[in-house]
Amino acid sequence: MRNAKKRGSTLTRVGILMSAIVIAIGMVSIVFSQSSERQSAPTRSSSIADKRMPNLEDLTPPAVNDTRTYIAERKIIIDAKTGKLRMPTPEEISEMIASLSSLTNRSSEGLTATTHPDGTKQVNLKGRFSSVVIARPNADGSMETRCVATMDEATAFLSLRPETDAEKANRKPSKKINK
Amino acid sequence: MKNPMSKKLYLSMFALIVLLLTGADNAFAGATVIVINADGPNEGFNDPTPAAPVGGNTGTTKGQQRLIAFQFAADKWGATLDSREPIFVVAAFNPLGPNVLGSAGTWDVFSDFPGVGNYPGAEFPATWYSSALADKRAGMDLDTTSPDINAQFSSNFNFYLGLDNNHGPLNDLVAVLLHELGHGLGFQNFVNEATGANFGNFFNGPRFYPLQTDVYSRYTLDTTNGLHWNEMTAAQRQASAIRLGRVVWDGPNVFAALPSVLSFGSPEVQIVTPPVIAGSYQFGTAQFGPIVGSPDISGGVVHAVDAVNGAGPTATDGCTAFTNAADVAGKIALVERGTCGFTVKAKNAQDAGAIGVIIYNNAANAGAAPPLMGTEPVFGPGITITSVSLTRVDGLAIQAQLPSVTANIANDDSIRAGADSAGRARLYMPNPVVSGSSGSHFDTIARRNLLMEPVISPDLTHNVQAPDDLTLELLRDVGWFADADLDGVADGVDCEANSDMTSTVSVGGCDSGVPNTLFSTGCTISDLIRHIAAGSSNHGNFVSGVALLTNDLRAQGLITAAQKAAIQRCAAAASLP
Repeated sequence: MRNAKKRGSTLTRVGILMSAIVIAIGMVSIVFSQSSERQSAPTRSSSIADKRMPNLEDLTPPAVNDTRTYIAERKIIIDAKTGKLRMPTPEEISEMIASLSSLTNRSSEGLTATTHPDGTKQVNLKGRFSSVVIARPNADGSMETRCVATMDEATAFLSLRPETDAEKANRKPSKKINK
Repeated sequence: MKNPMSKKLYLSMFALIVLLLTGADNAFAGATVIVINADGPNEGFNDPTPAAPVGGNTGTTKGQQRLIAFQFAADKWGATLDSREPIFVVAAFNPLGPNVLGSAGTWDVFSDFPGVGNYPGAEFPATWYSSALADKRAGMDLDTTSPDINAQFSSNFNFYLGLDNNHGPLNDLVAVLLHELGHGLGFQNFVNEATGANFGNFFNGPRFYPLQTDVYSRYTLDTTNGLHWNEMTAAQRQASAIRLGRVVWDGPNVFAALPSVLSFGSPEVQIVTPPVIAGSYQFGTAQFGPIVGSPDISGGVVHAVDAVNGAGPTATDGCTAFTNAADVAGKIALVERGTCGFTVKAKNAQDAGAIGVIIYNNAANAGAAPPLMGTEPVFGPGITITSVSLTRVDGLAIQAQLPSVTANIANDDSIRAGADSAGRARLYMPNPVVSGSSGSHFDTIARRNLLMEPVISPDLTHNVQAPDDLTLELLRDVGWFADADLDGVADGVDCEANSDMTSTVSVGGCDSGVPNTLFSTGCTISDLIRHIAAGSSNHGNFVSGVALLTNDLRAQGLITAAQKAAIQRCAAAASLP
C-alpha cells in the first residue's frame, strides 16, 4: 500500500514534468539540428582565417583640420636628458595636437552607411570615435592619466590652449631642447 | 617620426595573427579574442629590444612583453564575456605624440541586425551597437572583412608590462588595455556631447540614413527630467551632458551589483544656508590635505582677504597671509583661484585657523570646471585641512550671500560614493565638458575606484566585475547577456544553461543517432531527457517519461517513427536514473 502510494506520487511528479516539457515543446520551434545546422550556422564566414586585415589606412583616422597653434600653460614633458619636468616645445605640441586631432576624430564626414540584404545597417567608423588615454606628469613625479573622447577634453587636461593673435605676433623662436 | 602606418609593413606582418583562446571552459562561458598584430618588423609587438621578465610577464623582448600583456588583458575579457563569435582586435604599438598613451574603439557600428537561430539580434530597432556586441547578439560575424576593435598604443611610453598589477609609479598597461577594450566592447555612446546630436546623417547614393540613438544612450538617464538620452532632443542631451550627479546608468545589472561594489559615504560640498543658494555643488578635490569627509567639516564661510602685492594682485587671491585671520579662524575660507599655487592658498588658510578651504575659479578660468588641485613638495605635505574647488559662478554666488553662508564639506553616509540617492551609478557629466566627460565613464567620485572612470586609477584590480568593478555589469545591460552554453538563449531564461550540445541524442552512453535538436527554449532533446532522468525516482518512470516525450516529438513531426524508437531503445537500455 505504502509502495503503491509512493509509486503513484512519483508517476504524478513525472507526469507533471512531462506535461511541462510537452507544453513547452508545443510552444517552441526548432532552432537547429545539432548534427547539421549547428556546425554550419549561416555565418557570412565560417573560418577565422577568412578574416582579412582591414584597410590599415583606417587604423589612424584623418586628423580634423585644426589650423590653430596651441601653447602650453604648464609643464607636461619629462625631459629625457635631465629627467625634470619642463614645458613642451612648439614641435612637441604640434606632434601632440596632430596625434590627438587624429585619434579623437568624431566627425561623421565622409563615413558611409550600408544596408545588407537582411536589413542590417553598418557604418565603418574608419578609426574614429575612439577613446584616447593621455597622461601628464606632476612635479612630485606622479603621472595622471585621463581617458578622453574629444580634442577639447584632451587639450583641457594637458593645459594646451589656442594661441591668441597677440601671442602669435609676439612669438619668439623656440629654443632647441634635447629630448 | 617614422610613418607608423606603413601599409607595406602591416601587410608584411599580416600572417602574424595571434589567436587567444580564453582559458575558460565552454561550460563556464567565454569568448575567443583574436589579436591581429599590425606592427611591422622590429617595432611595437615585434620590438627586439631585450627586456628582463617582469611581474609574471615572461617575455624576453619589449615586443614579446607587450604582446603577452595585451594577450593577458584580452584573456580577461575573453574569460568574462560569452560570445560564439570571435572578437577581432587589430592592434599596434606606434610612436604616438608626447603624453598620448593609446586609443581604442569599435571598428564598425551596426543596427537592425537579425539573429541566427536562438540569437536575438538587436534588442532595439534603429539603435547603433558596437561591432563585437552586434556579432554576439546576431550569433554570426556581421562583417568578415574587418576587425571588431582597433587599438593603438604608444611605443615610446614607459608602461609597466608586468601582469601582477605591481606597477608602482608606472602606468599599468594591462589596466589601460582593460579600460580601452571596455570602450571597444560597448562601454560608449556615439553622441556628440558638444551638440547633443546622435550618430547618423549619412547618404549612400540616394539612400539617407538619419540620426539614430545607440544602445548605451538607452540606459543613460537624466534624473532631472526623467528622460533617457534616446528619448531626448539634441538640445536636451546637450544640456544633460553637463549635469554632474544628475545623469545615471539605468540598467538592471549595474543597479543590482552596485551595493556590493560601492561603499557608503558620498563626498559632498553642500551649502546649507541661506536657502537661496542651498544645495549640493559640483566640486574638485585636492591632491594635498585630507580627503573630503576626513573629517567632515561644517561651518560658516568667510572670504579671505590678503594684501595686494607682487605675490598676488588682488585682495581675494589668498597668496599672502590673510589680513582677516581672526574672522577666518574656525571657519571655512573662501579664496579665489589664480597667481599662486593651490597649496599656497591652502597653507595661508590653514595658518589663519580655517577648518577648510574653498577655492573658486578666477576670471581667467571663468568657464572652467572645478579643477583637480595638484600638489607640490614645498607646501603640499604640510596641509592638514581639506580643500575643494568650485566653478567661478558658484564661488561668486556664495560670495554674494556672505556673511550668512554656512556649508558642509562632508560625506553623506546615506549615499554610496558614485551612486545617486536611488542607488544608481552616476555617469561623469561635469560642467563644462572636461577630460573624460563624454558620458562614457562612471563618475570620478566612485569609491571604490572603477575601471571605467576617466581616470585610470593606480589602485584598480584586474577584475572587471562585482564585487571589484561594475564594467561587466554595464556591458550585460547593453546586451552582453550571459550565455554559458553559447546557444543564444540568456542563462536567466535558458531551459538549460549548460546544454548538452552533442550532435546526436545520447541516453546514458547509448548514441541513438538521432539529431540532437535545439529548441528556442534553449534545451536540446538530450537536455530534456536529462531533466526527465533527474525527475524520475526509478527506471520505469524514466522510460515512461522518455516515451511521453518522444511520442510528443513524433506527434509534432519533429522526429520520425524510427528516431522515436531509437531513443526509446536507448532509454530502455540505459541505467538511469
